Amino acid sequence: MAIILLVDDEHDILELLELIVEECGHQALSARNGEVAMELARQYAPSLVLTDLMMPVMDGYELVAALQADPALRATPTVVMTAGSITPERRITLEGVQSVITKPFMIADIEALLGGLEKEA
Amino acid sequence: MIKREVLPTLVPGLDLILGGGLTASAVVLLVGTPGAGKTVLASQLLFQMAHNGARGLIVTNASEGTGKLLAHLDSLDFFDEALIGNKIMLLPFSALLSGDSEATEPAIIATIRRLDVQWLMVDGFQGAAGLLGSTNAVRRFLGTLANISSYLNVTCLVTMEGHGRDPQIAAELTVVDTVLGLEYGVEGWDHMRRIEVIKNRGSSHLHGLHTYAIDAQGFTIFPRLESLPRPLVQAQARGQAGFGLPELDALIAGGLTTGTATVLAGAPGTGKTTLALHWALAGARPEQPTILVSFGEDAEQLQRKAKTFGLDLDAASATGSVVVLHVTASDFTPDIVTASVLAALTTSGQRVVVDGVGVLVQVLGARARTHLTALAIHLASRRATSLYTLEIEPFVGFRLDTRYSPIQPIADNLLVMQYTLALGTLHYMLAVLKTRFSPYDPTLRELLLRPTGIKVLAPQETAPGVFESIAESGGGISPGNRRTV
Repeated sequence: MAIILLVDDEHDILELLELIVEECGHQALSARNGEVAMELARQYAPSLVLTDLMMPVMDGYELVAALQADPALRATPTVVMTAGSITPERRITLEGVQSVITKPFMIADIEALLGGLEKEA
Repeated sequence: MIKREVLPTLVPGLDLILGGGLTASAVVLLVGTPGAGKTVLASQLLFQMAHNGARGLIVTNASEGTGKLLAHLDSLDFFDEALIGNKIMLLPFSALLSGDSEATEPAIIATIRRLDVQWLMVDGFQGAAGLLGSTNAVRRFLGTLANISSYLNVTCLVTMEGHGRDPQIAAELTVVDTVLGLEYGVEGWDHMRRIEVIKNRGSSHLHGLHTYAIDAQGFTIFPRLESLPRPLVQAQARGQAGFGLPELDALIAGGLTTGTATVLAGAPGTGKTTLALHWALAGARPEQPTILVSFGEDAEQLQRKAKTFGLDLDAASATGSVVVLHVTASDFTPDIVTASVLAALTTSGQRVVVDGVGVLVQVLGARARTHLTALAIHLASRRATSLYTLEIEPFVGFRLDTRYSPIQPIADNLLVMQYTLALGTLHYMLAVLKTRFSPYDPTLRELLLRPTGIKVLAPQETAPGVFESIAESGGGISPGNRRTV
């Protein structure tokens, strides 16, 4: 069982993601912004971070930068989700992420992502 | 941004007023007064989608109960018991509750996932308010549906009692994608049902109130004619649609110009309907039937009247040359009548007779002019030629001012029939006041109503004293002439 860190300010999306993660046999950790996510990441060293980009307090870009800046978390696979477009300037800041998923995401895509992780775990 | 698919609803008229259909994964709120048919409409949608292979879930509130809902739907044609438990699952709302109102949202998400449904119907959502415990919880539940519907690929139909324009439910309306307001009430002595698309994100829906009817087949919506996109009226080659009465046709260059609208106004008993029947039958062919709308006489009465004047309406009806649409003058809905007329137009260039347009004008009220304008445009776009009979006051001459009248849009041509009294005898007279696209003979003509049909006399055949009588009574032959009494 892997620990998946889910980061989204939308309560319902977090609940849906938690459900999918649990159905795939993993453990979900949820955060409503990047700041809380960093605290949880340091504490639990998740196998995957799945984060939204647009959030209050600390957004997804800042979270990705913070993860990259932390030597203990730099290697953590990170997937970002966004409903909007990403400008080329901002895309550079996401170079370290594993992939970008467009919202509304396909549940099958999330399941595939988690399924692949399961094999690694 | 991903553009979501538009799903045809298969409910007659609904896609037209929605501007195409419902957006896939939308949250649709059906809000209306008790008895308006919210449950019927939502169920009709759900069952039709299930018939086409989709899976649906109906969540009912505790007061209604699933058994009561099924019993209610059993009388409707679209209900199919075989789909229950197979393609359509039912669940009481209380099954989603676990004492903790905050657990309701995860429960509905899990249920949708577990049952793998593409359509969710939450029926009687006002009843959920009590179960959820607070208005905020109700809004949160709707908000959850709105947030997760596109992820779960589920389209949600939520029925709720109330009025779609009630400011107290504005918060609920904000979060959903589509709001349909249904009204069911009494207007005068009659029941009326109207539906309004208050909101439909991402579509150009038809504005205004639209009439609907509910029968065993479920909902049929009759879009407000005035709201429909105006059809293109192309320039057309004009011909003449004659009455089959040579003397009368000679007055109007062979007949009424095709594609135009004519008002045949006349005092009661002057032979308007008979003359209209002549015109209706003169152009009737099975491959191009005449549509005859009667607000008074039914098909049998019309046939009897026609027979009196040597006209065989019976045979024309039997061969499909004439289609009679009888409307009970005391109880009808104008939008349904006009929709029926347009639906009966199967080919280009048909004749349409509306016998007794005054009744339609009266029921339409303030809408009469705009509605008749829209009707005239739609008929012209199908190259139909129309004739409307209109009852006017007897013995007041031939003056008929249409300038500010609701009938102006249907009065390209204007024929007036009137009585006059001469030497102790009533005489029937006809005047052509106006024609469009063709010349006309302005001379007054006496009519003879005989078993062999209507005969239009030449001026020299007019009975002695008739013209003098008309002149004495002040009956002018053109609008704007002397006021008549």
